[in-house]
Amino acid sequence: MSDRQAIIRELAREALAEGRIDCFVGWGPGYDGSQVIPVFAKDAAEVEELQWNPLCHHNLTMFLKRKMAEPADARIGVCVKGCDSRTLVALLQEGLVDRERLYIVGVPCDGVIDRRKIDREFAAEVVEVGVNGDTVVARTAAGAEKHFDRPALLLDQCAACRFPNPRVADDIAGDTVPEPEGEPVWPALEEFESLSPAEKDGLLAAVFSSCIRCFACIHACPVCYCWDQCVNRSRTPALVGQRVETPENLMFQLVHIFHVAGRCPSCGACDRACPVEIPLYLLHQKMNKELYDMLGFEAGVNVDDRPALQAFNLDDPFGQG
Amino acid sequence: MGDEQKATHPAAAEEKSGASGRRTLTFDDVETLAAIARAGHRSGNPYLPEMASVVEVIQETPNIKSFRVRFTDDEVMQSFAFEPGQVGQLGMYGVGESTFAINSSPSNNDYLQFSVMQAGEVTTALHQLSMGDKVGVRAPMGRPFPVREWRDKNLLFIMGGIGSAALRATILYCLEHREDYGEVTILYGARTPVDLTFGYDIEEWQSREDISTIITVDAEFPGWEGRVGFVPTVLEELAPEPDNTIAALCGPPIMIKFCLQVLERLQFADEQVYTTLEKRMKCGIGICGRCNVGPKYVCVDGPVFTMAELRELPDEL
Amino acid sequence: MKFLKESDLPAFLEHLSGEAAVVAPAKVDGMVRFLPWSPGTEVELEALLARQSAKEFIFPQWETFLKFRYLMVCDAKRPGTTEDAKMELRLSEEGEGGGEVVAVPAPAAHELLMVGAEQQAVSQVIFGLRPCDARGFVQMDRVFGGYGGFYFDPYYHARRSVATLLVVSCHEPRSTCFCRGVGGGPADAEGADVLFTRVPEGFVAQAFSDKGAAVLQYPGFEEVSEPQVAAAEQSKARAEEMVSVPFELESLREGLRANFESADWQELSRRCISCGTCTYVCPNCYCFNVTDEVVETQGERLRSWDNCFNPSYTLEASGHNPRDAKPSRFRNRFNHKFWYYPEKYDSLLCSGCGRCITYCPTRIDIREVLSVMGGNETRAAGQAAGGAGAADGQVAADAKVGGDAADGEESQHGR
Repeated sequence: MSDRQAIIRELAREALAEGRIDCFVGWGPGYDGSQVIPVFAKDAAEVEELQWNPLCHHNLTMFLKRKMAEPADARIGVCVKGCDSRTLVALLQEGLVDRERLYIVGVPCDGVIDRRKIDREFAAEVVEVGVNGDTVVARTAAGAEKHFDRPALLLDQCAACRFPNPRVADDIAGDTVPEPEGEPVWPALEEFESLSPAEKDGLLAAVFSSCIRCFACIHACPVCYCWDQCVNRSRTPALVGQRVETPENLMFQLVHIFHVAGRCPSCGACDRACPVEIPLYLLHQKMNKELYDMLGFEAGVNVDDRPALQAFNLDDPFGQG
Repeated sequence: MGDEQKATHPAAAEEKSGASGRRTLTFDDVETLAAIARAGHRSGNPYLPEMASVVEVIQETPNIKSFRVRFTDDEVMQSFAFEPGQVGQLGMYGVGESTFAINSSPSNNDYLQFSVMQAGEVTTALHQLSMGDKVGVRAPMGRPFPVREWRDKNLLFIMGGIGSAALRATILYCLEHREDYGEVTILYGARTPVDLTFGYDIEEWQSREDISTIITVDAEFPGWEGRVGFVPTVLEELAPEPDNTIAALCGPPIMIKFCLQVLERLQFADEQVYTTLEKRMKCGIGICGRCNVGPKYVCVDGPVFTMAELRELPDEL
Repeated sequence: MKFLKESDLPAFLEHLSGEAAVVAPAKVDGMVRFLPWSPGTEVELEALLARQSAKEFIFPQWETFLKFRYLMVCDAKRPGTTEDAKMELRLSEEGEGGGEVVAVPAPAAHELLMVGAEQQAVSQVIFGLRPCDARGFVQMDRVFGGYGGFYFDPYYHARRSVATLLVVSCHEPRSTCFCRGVGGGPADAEGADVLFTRVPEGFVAQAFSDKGAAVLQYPGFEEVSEPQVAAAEQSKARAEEMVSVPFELESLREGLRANFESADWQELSRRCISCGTCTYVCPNCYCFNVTDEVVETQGERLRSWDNCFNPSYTLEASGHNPRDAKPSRFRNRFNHKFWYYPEKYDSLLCSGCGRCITYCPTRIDIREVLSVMGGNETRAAGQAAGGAGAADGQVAADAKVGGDAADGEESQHGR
């Protein structure tokens, strides 16, 4: 698995050297030994910063949205995991990115670590995370150390992932990983769906009282491509008011969820971007389950598909059971 | 504004001091200007608008209306004072506020005039106003044209389209104090004759012998017998002398850009050229943060700036 | 100076809550936040920083500036009436013979009743602030307080004047702390009414204002002993040593001015997603929006937090946007905090808490930005070129994910 990193670097180096791209977007080291950040490599030296490890959680296709990349006509190389590639497929389905200007390096993935699951186990700040096979070691500045079993630390979505290999790519960084068969499962929703309506109301009220309307979820979402003209900011009409309290916050998020429905593969970028840990992944999963149950549709799987809510079929089961 | 505050108004101060101690208002006199700016706000809350009634609506052009508003509190109306070039926040309760130059004359105690081009949310709502409707006014705000510093100089007013609204109060003031200034030239242009504002003023200005008024439209237009040419072109043709002359300009960005080039060619120094900027504004009092050009807030450090000052600022107009 | 036993902290807060609303950091759902405190709430002081600053208690995320209500009166229908009633502006009735009778309101039929918003504020005591949190208020005081002859904000002032700030000094920094880099420190008293320093079994408390002195009158405070004072000094000194100074402040303002057009802004802002998280968690970002929110004929004018990363922050009605490009908005935040604000108000607008780094979705690092802009070309410590990757077969301790430390060394940052 570790040679995926070497392969990514090699592919990036070649693409830059051959002038096929202006810039390669991957993951690299952050401000301390536990942080990974998006990295924009433009030469061989910067390529050496690129990494691949289970903390590489960012969905880098968020930088392909209009007006995110500068300059707008840059030719971009980008690393995508399985889930990331599905948002890229969604963008391609709608013609929102120019395939000709993209060089896609697909990275087969066997799970991304949920950083929050580590942080929760420590009182102090974790400044170092090391991964060796299935063992994860986390350490604070004072030297307090804990060992974890990697599978137990993965993001909830990774346990149910059926698309660990990229759905679209020009080159693949290493061998593909086994792909689970069968129908989608929704483990994150079991508990949520067992709640009564009143309990669900209570849960939503509790989590949305924390929302600070920072728009991190919307900006981090690769398929929220209206981001700089988001209807949630609109004054004419003003759908969402400036009272930053639960009813408006819930409306704000519902607008986002409904707008991305049919294009959202539950990559979880929104959930990870949220500074107050609102369970956005859970809510998007709920939307996606409804879509799947209703229309048998999963977002971002085949470039030639149309997003479910942009296609109408007379056989669609609207208004039926 | 009470009598106490009126007494500290620079104009009043000068009247009081008479010939011996003329107090010149300098561009740097921020304290005084802040006091003037605060003077219109009662109860010490600069966010609270003063209620006013619309007393007249004038359709200047197809998309520009002038609103004459009168404070509902007569005392406020009588004691209201402002310097030419200052602006106000004109707003509708339930819609919001927008910034407009107060373009009636400072000597006018009957009403304030704001000219509004319909463009966005607030201006569209303002255009629905009719007589008797209530609006909110927060004024005066901002740094004015230093009309007293300009005494004994020649004045050149260059305006395009709705830019006339930004300069009207200043022109009216200078014409009311005509003897204090040298040559006065007004150059005003619009796309078509239909787009010229303040027709009632233009007539009067053109009839005066002691000022030079040049009105122009961008292109030939049926029924138009006057001058034809873009404002910068006409300016170049006029070739005004820079000696002891102040140029004040306002209009569409493209007009300003080319006029500045012409003025430079004509050897006007940056300190002789004034303009007034506009930006999206909310608080209008230098706090909400959004109207900045570099370290200057257009609402309190401007909207009037000299070219010399603008050259110091970063390029984010 | 006085001493407060750790075990007496709840009683102390309860005493304060008799006269003011108490706010303190508490852990809920694994997150530490400043929350209204009530007896029984456990105060969280192990974690260094609450997730957000406490600015919302003095500068709320939204508040009402004024309220308004339209009353409509149709003189033709009910002449002379100014009762509190809502009516349709146009009334249409079938008249005799099938014609339509329309009642048209007389001119000036609109009457507007407006109520100015009150600026009363509840007394508050905010306990558990860190020096950077308190300093944030002091920095914001300038713009809201009419420094330099500008305008005075009565809404901010109403809350600020009745708030008591009780600061607890820091025992160790986070890897993102840089208070010393901006002229502050982990035991600084700027803005504190009382500064508490943790010592064995309690806190040494020192008042820095009349409000603070009044707080120390609480009978639960004990006389402080020499060893306790010494322990407090030691703790402060130790914390001070641990905070690094990652960029040079002296040359920063000039550097930002000189670098306004620099292509570095493009580079530094590449991974920025232009959200607003940094501004909202910051103790002193204060830019705001004013909007009218209406339901039928009544409504309120609200002030709410806004931020310069909002793509429509400077969008003009004509469609022109002076800061349309993401790098220009990114640049504005740093310029505002380290050039514009100091130029106008003789104060920085940053207290070095580092929350903007921790909660940024892509970990934009303000220290790196300021290092580059201040003329120090090298990247800030902690940002490595060539991080070590996880390698199979290596001992776990050496298999670091990122950071700049060579094998076996602790991460440079924070030490």
